[in-house]
Amino acid sequence: MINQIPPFATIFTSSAMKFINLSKLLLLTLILGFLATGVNASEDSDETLESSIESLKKEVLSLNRDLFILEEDLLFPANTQFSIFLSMNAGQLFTLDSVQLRIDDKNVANHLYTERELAALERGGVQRLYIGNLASGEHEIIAVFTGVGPGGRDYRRGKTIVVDKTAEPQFVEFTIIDDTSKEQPEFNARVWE
Amino acid sequence: MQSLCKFFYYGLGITAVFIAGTIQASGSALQHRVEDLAYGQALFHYFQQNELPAITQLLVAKQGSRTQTQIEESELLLADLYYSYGLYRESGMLFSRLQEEDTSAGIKNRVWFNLARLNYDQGQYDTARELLAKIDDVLPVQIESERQYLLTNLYLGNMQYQQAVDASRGITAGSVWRAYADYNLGVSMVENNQFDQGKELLDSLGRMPTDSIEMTALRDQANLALGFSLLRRSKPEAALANFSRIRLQGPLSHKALLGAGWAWSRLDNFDRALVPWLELTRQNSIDIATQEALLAIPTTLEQDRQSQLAVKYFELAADQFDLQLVVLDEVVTSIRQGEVIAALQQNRLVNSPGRFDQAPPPSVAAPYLYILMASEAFEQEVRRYQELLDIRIMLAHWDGNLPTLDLMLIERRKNFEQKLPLLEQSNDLPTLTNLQRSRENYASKLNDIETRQDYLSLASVDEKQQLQRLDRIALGLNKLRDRKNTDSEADMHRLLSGLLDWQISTDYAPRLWQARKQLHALDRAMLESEQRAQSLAQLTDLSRARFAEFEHRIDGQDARIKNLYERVGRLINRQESRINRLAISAIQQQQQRIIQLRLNARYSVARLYDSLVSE
Repeated sequence: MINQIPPFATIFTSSAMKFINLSKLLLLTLILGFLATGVNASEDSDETLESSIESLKKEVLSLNRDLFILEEDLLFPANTQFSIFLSMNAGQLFTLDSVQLRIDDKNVANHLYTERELAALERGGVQRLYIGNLASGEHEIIAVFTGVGPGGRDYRRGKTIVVDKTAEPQFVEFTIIDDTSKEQPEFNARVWE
Repeated sequence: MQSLCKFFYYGLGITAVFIAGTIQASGSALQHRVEDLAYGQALFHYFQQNELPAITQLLVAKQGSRTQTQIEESELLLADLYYSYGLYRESGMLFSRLQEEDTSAGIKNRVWFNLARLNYDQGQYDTARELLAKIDDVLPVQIESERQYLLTNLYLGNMQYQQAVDASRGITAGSVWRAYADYNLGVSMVENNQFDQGKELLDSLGRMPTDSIEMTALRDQANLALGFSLLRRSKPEAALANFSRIRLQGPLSHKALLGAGWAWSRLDNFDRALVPWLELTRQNSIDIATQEALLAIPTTLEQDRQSQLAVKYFELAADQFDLQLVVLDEVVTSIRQGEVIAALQQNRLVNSPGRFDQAPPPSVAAPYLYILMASEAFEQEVRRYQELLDIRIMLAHWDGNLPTLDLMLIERRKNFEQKLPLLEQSNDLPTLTNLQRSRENYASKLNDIETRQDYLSLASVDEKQQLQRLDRIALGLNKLRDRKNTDSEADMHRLLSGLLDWQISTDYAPRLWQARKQLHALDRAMLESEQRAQSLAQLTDLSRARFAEFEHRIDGQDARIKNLYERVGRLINRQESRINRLAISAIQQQQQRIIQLRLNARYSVARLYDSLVSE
């Protein structure tokens, strides 16, 4: 195995100081040494530690799931639960910087985007921007998107949707899409049934 | 074959890219079709390499009431996430289940691919090959590229070059996978008697125009590999061209300088050889290339018959090695004092998980651990450590939030208890029974009217008043009849009475219909009241049951969190010790090598003195 090639110093010593060949040996060692980068740290792996970590992770996932559901059930009961999501389709004509959300003219969420978040959205991820409680009846939701639009210009657009909240959990999704025919970004909103 | 594949792993430093999952292929702008919010949310976390929230999202969706439409995709993603999160058994089981279940052909093929990848990562190359062979259709473009990349490596492991070339041609031209496949092919070929073909591939990679950090690093790597390969084939001039293409600011610049020195040395141009080597020694780094340069300088001078100068440089090298050993001793001390761990914790705060490779922690020890830190195994250990830190943060979050949830439940229960009397009032059965009795009386009266055709009972209030007035008038007329002629008034009274009677009798049918209608409306209202009362009674019972259920769900969580918190603390300590052991061991290996180099330098000094004296 390449990793087990004797280290440079060993070759150097065992050459019995025949320095005529030294340069060749140095060169060979360097070539192989460069290829054999890395120390195989798993050689002294502690299986007990690994299995303990694995077991902990499983329990933590189970706890996380239970508490996440408990929190949601308790804080956001199904009859008033209301969530807002954001997704992107392409995103070539608009680079999102931030989103501001207003429900019935009250600011409920602001989000500034990191590069990683944007990349995740561009690849199909869906972000939950807000979860809260909303009484049954009509409500106006406004999302204000700020970023860089076509031609590198500052771009700010709002999208409004009026929802009729029922006694069931309700989900609204805002989507940013590229309208290639108009060379403009388009902002859509839909209520998930 | 296994060792050869490991060679691709450790030697070429491609693991970080390869580890990226099916969906997470490097640099991909692949858009995923999302019709399921929970799946989309999990993808959002997954693409940011945040496995813990991504897995939680999918588990919550699976257990909770959220409708899942992309179940197969979600399960596939969950299996992939389990794998990334180090839960290999769970991942394998889920992949196997998906493969056994009646899933769509597309999903099955992706499962075969994922299982192959899993086996490849674990060194089970034959199994990986068998699993890849089961894929009977073209996979989505990005995954297909990765599949062909895997196949390329597997063929290379068996020295099946033609098949490897064919597989690599199946990868999208210009993609990252294609570049890595070409690199692997090139290195393998130049090392295994296919020099010309390998040289062509590496040379092409070494010249590729790119702005990407990843591709620039690969370009440097290709130039370095080809440069040293050319040197070994006694083509120093060509090697120089490759070394000169390597960035001076890049991580391979030291090796490139060393290689350039050797190339000039091979061309017997010792003066030119000294230039890059002296440049290396001036940078005063502790790395293999610099240490080699320290000895290469006097060795070359000796070959050039400049023995006195060679003695001086051998002595300088020995002194440098002394200094390096002192520095490394200090590094070991700082590691023992927790410096590396502190840097890793800081790194965790500044960078997202999985970014360690791109942002090494700012520490005293870090520059001396570059080989260790570049290794997949160490990266895995650091990743595991970061995961444990994340778990501790998460447990602290729940520990802080649980009292809030408890308080919330108490408040909601108090609110409910306050509203209970009102609810019970609405649910008052005696009131409802009285109302029902009144309704029965009304219905019976109406039936009686209908039976007797008693239209006068349906007269309006005004009509009843008029009838009463007419009765009073009739009485008055009777009293006056003996004293006065009241015939005309009596005729008038008869006329008016007849008129009123006629009016009431002719309206009887619509009035009866109206009364019946009102009775139906009353029935409906009564029914609604009964249903509401029942519903309120149910709601009261349900609320009590839900409060009890919430209490039950909260009970014991505190102990559960505390138990896990203690365990994660112990595991963090053990993981820290493990990382420190690995770091110290890596430094000690360097020290051993330097001790040998110093010994050789000093021996060379002694030998040269002897020869100078004998001259």
